Amino acid sequence: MSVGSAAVLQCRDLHLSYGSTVALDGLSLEVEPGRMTGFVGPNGAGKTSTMRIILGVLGPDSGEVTWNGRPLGAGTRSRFGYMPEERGLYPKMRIADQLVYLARLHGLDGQQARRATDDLLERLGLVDRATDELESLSLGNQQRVQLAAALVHRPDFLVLDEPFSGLDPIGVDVLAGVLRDEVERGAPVLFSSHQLELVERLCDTVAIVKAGRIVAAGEVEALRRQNRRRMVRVAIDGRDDANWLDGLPGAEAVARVDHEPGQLVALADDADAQLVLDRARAAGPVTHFSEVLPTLAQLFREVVAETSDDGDGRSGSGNGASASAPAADREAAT
Amino acid sequence: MNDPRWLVARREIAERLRTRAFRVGTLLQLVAIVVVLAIASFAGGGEDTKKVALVGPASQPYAETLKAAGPALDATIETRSYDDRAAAASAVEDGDADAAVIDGSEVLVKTDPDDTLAAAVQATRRQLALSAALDRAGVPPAELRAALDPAPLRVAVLEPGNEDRAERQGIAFIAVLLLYLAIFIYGLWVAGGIVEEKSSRVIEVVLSAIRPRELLTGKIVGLGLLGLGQFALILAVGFVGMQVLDSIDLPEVTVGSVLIVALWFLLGYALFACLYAVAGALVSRQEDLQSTTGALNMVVVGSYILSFTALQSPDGILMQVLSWFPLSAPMAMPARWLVTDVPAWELLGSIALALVSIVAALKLASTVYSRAALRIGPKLSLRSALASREA
Repeated sequence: MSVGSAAVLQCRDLHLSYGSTVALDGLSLEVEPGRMTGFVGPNGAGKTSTMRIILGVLGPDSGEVTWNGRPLGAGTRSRFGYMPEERGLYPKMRIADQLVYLARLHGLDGQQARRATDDLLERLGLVDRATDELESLSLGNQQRVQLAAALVHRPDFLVLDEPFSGLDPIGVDVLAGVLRDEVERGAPVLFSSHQLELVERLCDTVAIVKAGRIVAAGEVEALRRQNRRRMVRVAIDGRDDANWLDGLPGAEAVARVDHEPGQLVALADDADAQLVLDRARAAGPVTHFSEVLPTLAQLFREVVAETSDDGDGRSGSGNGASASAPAADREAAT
Repeated sequence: MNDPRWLVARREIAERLRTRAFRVGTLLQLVAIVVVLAIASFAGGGEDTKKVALVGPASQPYAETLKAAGPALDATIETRSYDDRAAAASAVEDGDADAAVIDGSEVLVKTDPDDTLAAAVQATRRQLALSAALDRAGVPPAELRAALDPAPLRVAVLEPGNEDRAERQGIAFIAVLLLYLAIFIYGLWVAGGIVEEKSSRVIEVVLSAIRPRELLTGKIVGLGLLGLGQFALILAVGFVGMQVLDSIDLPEVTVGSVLIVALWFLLGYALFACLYAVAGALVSRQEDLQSTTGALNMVVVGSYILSFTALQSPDGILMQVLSWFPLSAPMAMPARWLVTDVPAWELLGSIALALVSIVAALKLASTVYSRAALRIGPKLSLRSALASREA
């Protein structure tokens, strides 16, 4: 993640508490144009509160949200699209009426609203249900309408709270496609999810929140490399020991944590991976040699576990902008 | 118009018009009105018609004079000629006629407890005799007419008649009842509509587009307009029904009275709609609504009963207090105004006070609503809602 200026949306130092419970503890977050940003964190870490503050549904105790560098006003907010965690529309309202109504609340005139509604129902395959009441639709279709409600006014920015929860694999693919389209159309997307594989697959950038603070943020790829020893996996036909590595400076055998074959070798910053390969070839026929990067899920576990151990600061922040890691060992709020 | 409040108001109207409950409810009320009026008509309200049988040429002059005497008896008098005394007697016997005049010299009645019709015939006889005597004495016809039918005296009432007041009180009782029902029913609409948005969770989507105050104002205005429309429709059917079925003597209802009642309907609705909005905002499920509207319902019912009671002595101190107190004024002030002469300053003062309290109630409602709108879960107390954060 680049520093400051590139971001279209910035949350700066948001604080929020409900009575004695701290929900947000100086959270700062950036969303860059043309990107899909994943927002992950344990339950109660402050994802929903942050999203509600961005949408103006909730006001922070302190801190601010800016859009293109300017404080966020109602006019800009009405150009945002939102899917709250608590899904819900008017159960007895016909879905086309419902979408037209919401589009108009977001500032479209009657004609634009009707056209946008027709387009969207077409796109989501709901045209023949246009005059049905919401509650008569299947749960899957109701979720499509909920998505439509977030998209109908062609928002400049999309905020979705757990949009994938409860979707079957087909639904996940459809939604992922729609979100990619939105990013391509020019609306950056911020969504929260517990499905980390999905986030890793879909998102350009990710922000990990814990106890009301961002503890890691940036491009997924950079985060996977950042602040950690390089790791390679070596498999040598007929050998499952690590003795061949003995005496190579800067290289250290590490116990395996997964079920992949081969030996994990951690490298010091100045170590040369090719030397490891040379040693391996000398020890026998090499069947596998690769760089190993942690998955987002592993990263998440590390980051979330570490910061609660009174922080040793290894994982820490993406460069500068967001996290003032490590967070204090405050337990999750809300 | 793209004002969010207007969009919200329009949705409230359009969606409620679509519901079966609203359509059936309105229809039932209209049917009830018509049935009540029909029963009242059948039960013999309206003007009496008295039939008088006339026998012989000497009785014929009675016809005109008797008909002219009708209004004094609060009845329409019709006459019909019969051939002889026996025919007239059997007509009276059968109830085809209420009285018979035989040859200008005898009156037949079946039973006449208050003697009114017989007395009218007697008076007619006197008038005819006088007329004949004066005619014989050569008084010119014009003078004769002037003497027999002089311009009526101007009547100055030193103490306002009880009858007039009773009639005005009757109207006031009806007005209080209607205002009570309207405030109660439409207030509950507001509370229910707010809970509906919380229980379906749509509130968060809406509040991501517009401000809580806009949503609240739009909802109150929309439901108020719809309520006013329904109310007007029912009253209109009632008025037309009364005319057509001729069931109830319609007292003089002036345009001024209608406007005063309509004005106080709007004031009362606005005030109580805000309070019912508070009640609705504190809960998340329709089942819990009873627990927060209960106290408010008591206030509305209490105001109604007190206003109703105070109407018995509309000049009393209780009536005066109630007609100023903002929670009871929407029922008490129009009632008092309908029955007695309310000084203009009192009317304007109470309206001003009502407006001030509406502004305060709207502020309270928006505050509670903003803070409680996203609090889904068990019922909130008013205190905890006010103590929590502003959205």
